[in-house]
Amino acid sequence: MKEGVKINPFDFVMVKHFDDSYTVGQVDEINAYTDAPSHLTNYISSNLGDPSSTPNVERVQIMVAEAIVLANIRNDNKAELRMPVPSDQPVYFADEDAVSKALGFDRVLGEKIPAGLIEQSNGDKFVVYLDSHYIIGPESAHVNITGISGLAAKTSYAMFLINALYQKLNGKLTIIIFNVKHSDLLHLHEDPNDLTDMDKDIYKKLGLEPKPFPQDKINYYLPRGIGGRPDSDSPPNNYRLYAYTLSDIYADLDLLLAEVPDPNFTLDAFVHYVRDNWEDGVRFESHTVSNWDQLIRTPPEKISRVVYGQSWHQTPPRLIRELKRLTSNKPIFVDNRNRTNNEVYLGQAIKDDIKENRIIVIDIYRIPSINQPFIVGDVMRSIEDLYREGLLTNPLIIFIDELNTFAPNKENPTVITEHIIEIARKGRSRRTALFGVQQFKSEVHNQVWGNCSLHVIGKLGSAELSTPPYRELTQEAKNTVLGLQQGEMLISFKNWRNPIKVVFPRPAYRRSF
Amino acid sequence: MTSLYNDQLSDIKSLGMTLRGGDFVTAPSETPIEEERRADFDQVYDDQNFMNENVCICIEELSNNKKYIGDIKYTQRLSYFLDGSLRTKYLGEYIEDDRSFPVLATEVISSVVKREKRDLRLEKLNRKFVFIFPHKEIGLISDTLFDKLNSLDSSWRSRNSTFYIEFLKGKPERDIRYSMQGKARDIMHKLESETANHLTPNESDWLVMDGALRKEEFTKLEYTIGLAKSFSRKPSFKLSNSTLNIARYLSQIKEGERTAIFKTKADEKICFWYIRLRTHPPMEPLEGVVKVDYVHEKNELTEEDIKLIDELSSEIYALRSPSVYPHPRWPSLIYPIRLAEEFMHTAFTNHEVIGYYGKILAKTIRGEMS
Repeated sequence: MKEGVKINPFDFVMVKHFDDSYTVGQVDEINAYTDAPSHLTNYISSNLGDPSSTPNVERVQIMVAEAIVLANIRNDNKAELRMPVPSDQPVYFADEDAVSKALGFDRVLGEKIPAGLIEQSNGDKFVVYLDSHYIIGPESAHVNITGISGLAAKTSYAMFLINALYQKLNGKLTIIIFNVKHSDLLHLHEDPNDLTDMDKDIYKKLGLEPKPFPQDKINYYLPRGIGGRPDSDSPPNNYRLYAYTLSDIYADLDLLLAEVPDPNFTLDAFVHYVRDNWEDGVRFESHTVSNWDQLIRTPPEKISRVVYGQSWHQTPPRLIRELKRLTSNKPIFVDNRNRTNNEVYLGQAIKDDIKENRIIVIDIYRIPSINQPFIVGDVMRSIEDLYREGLLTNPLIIFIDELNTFAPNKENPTVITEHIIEIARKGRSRRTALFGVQQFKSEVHNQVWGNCSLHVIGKLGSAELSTPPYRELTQEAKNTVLGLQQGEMLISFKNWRNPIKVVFPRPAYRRSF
Repeated sequence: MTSLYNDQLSDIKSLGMTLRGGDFVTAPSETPIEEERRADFDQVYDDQNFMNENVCICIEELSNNKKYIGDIKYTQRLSYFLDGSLRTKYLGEYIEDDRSFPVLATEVISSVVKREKRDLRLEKLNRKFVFIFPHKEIGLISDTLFDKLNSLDSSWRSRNSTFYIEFLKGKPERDIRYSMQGKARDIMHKLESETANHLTPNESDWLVMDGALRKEEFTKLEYTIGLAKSFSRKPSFKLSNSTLNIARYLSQIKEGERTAIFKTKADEKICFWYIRLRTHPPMEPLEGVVKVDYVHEKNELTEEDIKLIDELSSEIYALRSPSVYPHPRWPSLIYPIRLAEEFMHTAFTNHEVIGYYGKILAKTIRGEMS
């Protein structure tokens, strides 16, 4: 390298090739070499191991930067040249035009979505664009964001990208967001309180406005708490409460019982019985069930006789115990008579709300972890219903934090995991994108992250980086991930040959700390 | 393909056309055979200094016959480091009627490394690719061919080609190929001398030549020393109280010490002394020692002369680091000279290209290529 030039991994470089074409590469590993062939040479040079001795002249040393070839750019519409670059050609920092062509920004099928800034070591800054057709379909879909808690700023990046999509698509999509942390995502309509001048500058360069989501387009759904109050941290001003009566979800008891082991499908038999025989309630001989309280008071022997055709079956007592554990003393499970006007069944509300421009925020932070999968699963099933009925036609983004909780990497996926896998598989053609966030991608079902077109990686630990989801990263990329700072991400997009390091601004809404 | 490559190819064909009419038997391998380096020529040259008289005259009296120079403060003077190298190839045998002679090609390179404080950089690199033929006076080549080759050489020189033709004069010492190799070395020394003449050593920027100041031209260079890592084992040294052979004398010289200063005979232009750069790991007495040649025509040394020699010695001693281990001569090789060597080695034309040139030459001579 020319004396004085500083270069770093992930810098873009370009070199002239045949036919007036040029090849663009990305710096990967940089090594320093001297003409000392062994440590013994250096030992002798330091006067046989004297650390204070200074050689009289500097030893010759070189830095060699290896680059991964991204593209060969031609002006004659011929196929790109895959030949090695001729030797002794000077290599330069790539300019914006070269980077743009190498990453295919000039061949975007949908809308160009700014995803961050590339900062070259020579001081140049370029905008990185994603193709919306590869984020929310129909070419491909889904985003997965991973990184350690706090430092990686995973949620911040997800919300920055969602905002970018919302702005660039002029709101022609629906967004469903699950809030899993305090009131992090309960003030998306409020002005940001922590944007720095540097953040504003990045927004300007990205062609985005640092503005929150429009208040009139957001619906916040908070869980019903004791006394009909919201069970949320720092609730927003306008919200609706959600709660579940038995009549709302009698057909979805499989979701409620999803985490309960059922190796012989005996619980499944009960679920099917209720679903098939519900008429404003369901009867077990003389015992009528139309609310949660009646359900958990059902005599087990009656269920045994009605569902299993035996005077005694071991499943009903276990079933009643599980139902008590899942629903008793949980204010979100209510009877019709207790429901206030501001309370809704979330599944139906989602169906009513999924319209262009809408942003639906569902708070599940204070929901016990045993009930959270049920809420997510119920929303997924409602969306599935809409598809089946042909009522969902506009693009949809579903943002799920702590994705490993809902789609864990287990051999036998639960019904909720299956719903999420289904979206990962079919979302591309349905134009439904799953934005999943988690600390450890290795703990998420591989069919979920494997279907993502965009992988975003924040700071991670070395143990996680050695797991299969990161196998495609070079060692240098892994080293970079270990040292990423807040506001820096490595993004790997389906259309690119190598990941890119970007910086991004804080999201433009009021955040809790 | 580069224009330099095309020019060279065209010049090779010109040589082939010039040689057309005779027969050319190429070296029996794919690539021309590299001529063996049969001896350490620095040592051979130094041996010649002691052919008749091997007792050296001491021109400096020292107690214990040695001086520690490792801690003498010096002004940095040694700035240019010059080395030369060559690769000589036997291309084949040329047969013209009842005459025949070997054709050798030698690539000679000289390079200069410039030192600025602690930094080293390449100051100059000169190279020549020379075809060596016997001179017509030896009787192995016809007058006509000799004249044609002379004319070709003139045309090459007129347009600054990298190719040259040189002729071996005089009766061959052992065999013609051996003498042609000697000619190749002469060409290298000449190139070294030309390179040195283009430098401007001065009081604060001295030139260090690798090896002895053996050529007359070298002794005319001011502010120049020769630094030889190989030298003759023949000399003895007449000291105040005894005469010691070189092995015994140098075995008494410890790291950082120099010997007294000597001349091979009175009124000799050059004085010399030895400095031990290293003693560890244990090595034989002449290893780890450099011989310094310095032009000093008088038979006495003033205090200023000795001060200068001490400072130069101290500076040479300091240059033993960085080490060039595991080079076979590492104990007595200083880094800037090694770097100059390295620049040359990377500049030599590679074997495949020379092999290709040989094939083109043979085909052109045989009329298979024009």
